[in-house]
Amino acid sequence: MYGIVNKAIQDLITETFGEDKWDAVKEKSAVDIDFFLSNEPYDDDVTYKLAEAAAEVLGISVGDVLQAFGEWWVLKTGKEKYGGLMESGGNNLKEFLVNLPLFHNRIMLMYPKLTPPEFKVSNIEENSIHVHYHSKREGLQEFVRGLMSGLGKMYEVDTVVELLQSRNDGSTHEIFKVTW
Amino acid sequence: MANSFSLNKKQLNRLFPFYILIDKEMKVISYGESISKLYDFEKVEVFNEFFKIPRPYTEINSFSDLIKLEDHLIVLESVTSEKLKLRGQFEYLEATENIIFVGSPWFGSIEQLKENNLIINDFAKHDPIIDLLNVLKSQEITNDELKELVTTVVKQKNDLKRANKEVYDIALFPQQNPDPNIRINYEGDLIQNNPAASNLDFIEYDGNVYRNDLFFKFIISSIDKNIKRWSFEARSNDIDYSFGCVSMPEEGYINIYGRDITEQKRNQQELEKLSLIVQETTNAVIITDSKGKLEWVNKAFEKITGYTLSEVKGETPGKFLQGEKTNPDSVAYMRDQIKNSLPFTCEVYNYKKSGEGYWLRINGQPIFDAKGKVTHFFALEEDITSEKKAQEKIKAAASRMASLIANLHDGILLENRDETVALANKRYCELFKINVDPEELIGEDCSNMDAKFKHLFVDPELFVSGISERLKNKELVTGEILELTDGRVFERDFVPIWSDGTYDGHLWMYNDITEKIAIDKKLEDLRVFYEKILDNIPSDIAVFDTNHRYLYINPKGIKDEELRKWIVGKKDEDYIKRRNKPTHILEGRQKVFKEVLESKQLKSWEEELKQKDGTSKFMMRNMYPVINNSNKVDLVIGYGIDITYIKNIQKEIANSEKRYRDVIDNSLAIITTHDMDGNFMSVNPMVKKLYGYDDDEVVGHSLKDFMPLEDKALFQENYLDKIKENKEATGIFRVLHKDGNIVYSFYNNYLKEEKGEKPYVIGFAVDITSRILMEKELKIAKKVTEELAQTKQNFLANMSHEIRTPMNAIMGMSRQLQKSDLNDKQRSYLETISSASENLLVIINDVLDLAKLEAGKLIFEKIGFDPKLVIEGAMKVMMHKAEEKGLALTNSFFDEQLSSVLLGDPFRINQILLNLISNAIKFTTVGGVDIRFAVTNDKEDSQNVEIKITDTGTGMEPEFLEQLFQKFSQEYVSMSKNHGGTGLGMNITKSLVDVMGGEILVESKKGKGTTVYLKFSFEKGGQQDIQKKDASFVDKNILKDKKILVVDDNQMNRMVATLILNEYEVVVSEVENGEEAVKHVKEHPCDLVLMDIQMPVLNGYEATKAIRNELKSNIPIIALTANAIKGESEKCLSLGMNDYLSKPFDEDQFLYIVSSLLGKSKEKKSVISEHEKINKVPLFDLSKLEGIAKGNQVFINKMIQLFIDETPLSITEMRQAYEVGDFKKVGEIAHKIKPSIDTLGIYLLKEEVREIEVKAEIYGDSEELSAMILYLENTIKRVLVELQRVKAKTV
Repeated sequence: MYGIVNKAIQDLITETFGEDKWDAVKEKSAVDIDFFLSNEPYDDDVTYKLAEAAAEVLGISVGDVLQAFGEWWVLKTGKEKYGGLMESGGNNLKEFLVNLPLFHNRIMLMYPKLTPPEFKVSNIEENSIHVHYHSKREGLQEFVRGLMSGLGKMYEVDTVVELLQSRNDGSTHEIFKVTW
Repeated sequence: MANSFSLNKKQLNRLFPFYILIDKEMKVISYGESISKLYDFEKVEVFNEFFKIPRPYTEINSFSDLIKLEDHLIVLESVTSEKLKLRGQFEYLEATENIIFVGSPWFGSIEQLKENNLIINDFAKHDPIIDLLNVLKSQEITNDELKELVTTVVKQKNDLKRANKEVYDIALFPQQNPDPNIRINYEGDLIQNNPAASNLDFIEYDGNVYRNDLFFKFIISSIDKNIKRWSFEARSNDIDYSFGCVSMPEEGYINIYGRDITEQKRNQQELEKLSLIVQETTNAVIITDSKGKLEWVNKAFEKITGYTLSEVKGETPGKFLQGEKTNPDSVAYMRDQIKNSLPFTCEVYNYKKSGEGYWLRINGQPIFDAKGKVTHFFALEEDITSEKKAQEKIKAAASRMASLIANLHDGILLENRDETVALANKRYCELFKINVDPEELIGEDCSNMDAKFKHLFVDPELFVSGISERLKNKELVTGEILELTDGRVFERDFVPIWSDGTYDGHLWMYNDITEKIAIDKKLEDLRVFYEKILDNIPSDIAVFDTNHRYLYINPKGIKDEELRKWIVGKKDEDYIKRRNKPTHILEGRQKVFKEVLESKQLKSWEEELKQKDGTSKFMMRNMYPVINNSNKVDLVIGYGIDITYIKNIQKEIANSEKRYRDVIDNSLAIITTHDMDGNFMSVNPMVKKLYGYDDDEVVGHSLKDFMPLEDKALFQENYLDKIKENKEATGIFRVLHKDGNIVYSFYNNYLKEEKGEKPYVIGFAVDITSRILMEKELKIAKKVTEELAQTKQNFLANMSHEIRTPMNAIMGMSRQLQKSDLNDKQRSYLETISSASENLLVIINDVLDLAKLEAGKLIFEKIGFDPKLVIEGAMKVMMHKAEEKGLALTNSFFDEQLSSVLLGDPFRINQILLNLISNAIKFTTVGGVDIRFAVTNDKEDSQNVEIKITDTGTGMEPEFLEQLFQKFSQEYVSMSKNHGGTGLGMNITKSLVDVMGGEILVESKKGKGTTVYLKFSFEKGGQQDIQKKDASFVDKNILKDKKILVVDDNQMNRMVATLILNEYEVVVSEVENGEEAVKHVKEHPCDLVLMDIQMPVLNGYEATKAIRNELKSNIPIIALTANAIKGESEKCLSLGMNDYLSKPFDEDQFLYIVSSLLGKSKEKKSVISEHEKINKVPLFDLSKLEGIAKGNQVFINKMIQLFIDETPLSITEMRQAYEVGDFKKVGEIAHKIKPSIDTLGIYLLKEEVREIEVKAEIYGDSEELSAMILYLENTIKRVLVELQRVKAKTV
């Protein structure tokens, strides 16, 4: 994963819980990297280790860490660093989610070293949509859930994110129903 | 594959959402959906008006310019904004002959999308511009992060450098340490050491000497390696070291830190030696820390106090040793010394563990370290309990003794055997005036002292020899008397002191008995003094005991000294027996004595003693008891006074009183006395004679009982109250004679107030009945005279009226006639008529003035006037007369010093001047008349002026000059024929000058001319004093078509007015009396009324009242009256008339008044008195009241309310009094309300109320008085309305 992901985790923990906690998480995870470069790819393992260590240090589940991270990714990292890109994604939540597949397809081209997930949408309704999440990586569905709810907060609408299916139950990919 | 294909618009939009299609005319005919978000093509028709092409730079002038760009990368830029650029290319479409631009916006950053309201969907999917922007953004972020990383690395590099330096510095520490630092491993091998450790070649330890390398092996072999820290001592190179060892098992070595303790060791040995000494000493020794907490005590301390070291260690000694009797001052002293690190010594009472107290003497000493800081306190404590007890016993005994001697009243001198002073007290020093402390005398040689003090004594040698003798005899001597030169007397005792049969010194005691001797002497003197008094008192005085025995009798009582001595201790009966006196005296005295003893009160009685010569001697005897504190009689004092003389005087007084009584009884005046209620106490026989009553009918009755009923009511107020207040009263009583007649008694009564007596009144009265009756007759006569004068006055007024009425017609008609066409003869006749009538008018005015002057009714103004104007006015009037006679009328001198405004009556001055100037002209044929006006004395507030009128006329004979000012005087009878006149002019002039306080002098010489001097004193005034007349121009054209009613019973007068008014086209109506006037005004509204006053049926006053009150009309009314007397104009104005003209009137003045009133009536002003208008005087002025009130608004309101409540009643009363003819009362009421009018500053009434007050009785039943009262009534009404308003505002 690109360094921006790890950097975002670092920012989330530092800003929310303080420098000490970040040092503890880093020590716990045994990740010996002092500085993450956003556009440098790092081993996925680094990210997983950080998430797990954070869960342990903060005393919450990995799922909660990932969900918090998902929201952070949208509301802080996305907005602060890629504000223009995020804003060009659509004028409202629905438009953004509809554009999501195209968005990630473009990202794949822009970041050749990246293995981005693939999103598809279906069941587009006035107040809901199904978001299909295809990824080679395991265990990041809670991160995706966080992304969805973060988007809802970005567009200032109340959202409900339901996981309709998951690879955990034998399906090929995850489907999230986002209702607003 | 087809060569051509077409795209519909939708497809084109999806592929190129920013396309623009342009036709040959350069018009944009189609465009993509997304570009329409950036540009508003609806407003633009021609492409090049909208875009320019900066790259490749191209001037777009025609369609072909665009075609030429087909193979280029085109940048389009909006002509309005360089920021927004499109990147793409043109393609010519032959089929349609259009050009298409395909491309997309070119942005510098992803943020610009949002700024231009574009989102990802606005771009074709194939368009990479967004991705490009995102890559740029990522690049930007990466750059930022790299910068941050570089900053971090640089910072870390600097931190590392700093750390290196610190490590190096730290490493230097052990290197520079003078003490040895050694590191060995667990085998005892030396790993590292500092330079100081390198010198330790051999080490002495536990009595053995080791080589350096072997020593540590030896040491390591004997230690438990699990112990973290330990230490040992060893010696090397004559230095004692203490080595501290720290085990570092993780590192596998032991650090050994050596320290030089050579000095410390030596000190320790020394201390041990001292400790041993201290421990064994018998005195307690303690050592505390710097705070005073015990660290160590010796055995002696434990023994003395009973506390062991372990019990008290760490405690403050005071805490457990001190108790109730410990002196807190000593404790505080020690605490302060300890606090200030100072040594101390003191004695303290402490307590042992057993509770037993003991005294100790403490010597404390601070112990300092090398830096001078206190580390410990050391104290040596000595038990001094027994020493203290012995001291206290001695002290107590000495103190008692000293106190005893010090307090002795006698001066004490205790001498030792060797005749030195052992002790002296303060009193001794005082007696011998030794100004030192007695203690200082101790040890002095007494023989020296004797020599020193002998001069104090009257006989110094006796004093010294006396002492020598006493010392020699060594026997007790007391009560020796010694006199001192300063008058004091001492009593001296000598007491030898023997101790166990051995002489051990002696005691001198001196006592100052001066005062005692003086008191004894005083008492004796006093006794002699009183006895002398008693012996010389001119009364018999005897003192008895309670058994009636004589204790004392003075020489007046018994002359014979022998007998006097004999009688002490005897009783009266012994005396009677010895002197053969009558026994009844004895019985009387015994009875009285008994009564005195029983009653314990004074008893007095008279005794008549017949003398040998037949006369009597009267004695007043008194006996009174002297009562002691237990209310018992101690003594009885009897004394007798010879009252023969008093008795004789009493007899004489009785005789004298009889004589006075006879005078009173025979007096022709009524002499009475009465008490303070008026009840007669005594009367003389004249009462019977004048009033017909017997004494007993009068005495005991009130004076009031003998008064007519109507006088009784005022008796208290007018008589009794006054005499109480003034102590005397004078007046007239009307007393009813027994026969019913009234006797007028003029009394002069006095209040007598004598101490101890009730006050009473002595009255003297005489009968003045006949005089009173005579006065009454005189009053009636006076009234008749006054009525006659009034009749004369009325006659003159009527005369004036009766003459003026036809005069008005004559003069008015003459003026009208003058306006008509006349031939010369007619005009000459007419001028004669005019001249004659003017002369007649002057005569009438003179007569009237004279009458007024005589009656004192001519009122003088005191207003501001310009003297220059007065002179000029008079000259102007007289100028034509002078010119007619060819005379010069000049004013050769007008003093510049003259004040521009003077206060006085300018009209009267004018009258005087006219009179004098016209006289001068009249009697001058050649030459002229000159006037000089000079200031003779210029004061601050006033000026004395002199007006000099000089003519070159005929002059006067001295004889005539004398009677110049008499009435009807003209020098020759022919004069009046030549010059006309009544002969009243100079008399009137003189009277006017007199009333104005001036002086007139005339100098004349027959045939030369006359000079008249007028001298006045005028107060200076200011411009504010000059009355401003309404001088506005009056337009007579206003008269045209006005309806004016002329009311006059005299047809001629109506005609005069009508003729004048007709000239100005006035519509004139005429009626003959007031009633018709009222009716006319009611039925035929008109603009103005000219109202005569004296008319039949209804006069002018009543008609005006009716018009104002009944018709409620404000129509202007002008009074036309021939009554040229004071009060007339005021009355007219107060009744509501608007102005006043006296007949005969001047035509111009008449027209002026009529026109100005008509002009004013147009403005519909309220009708107020013209008098007020001119003066602009406010209705009232509260400043005086406010001054009195000094800011107290309540008081002001109260005064106003009082005025509102009471004044209307007074005014009504005044009117009623006037109606019933009680003019005195009218005056009294005016007097009563005058202060209120002044206090409220009603200046409009100031003069009037005074005139009514003073002259009401003189005016009597007159229109003047009535008018003045009316004016008063109307003004008060208006004042009240305004006052109510003012009061409402302030409450």
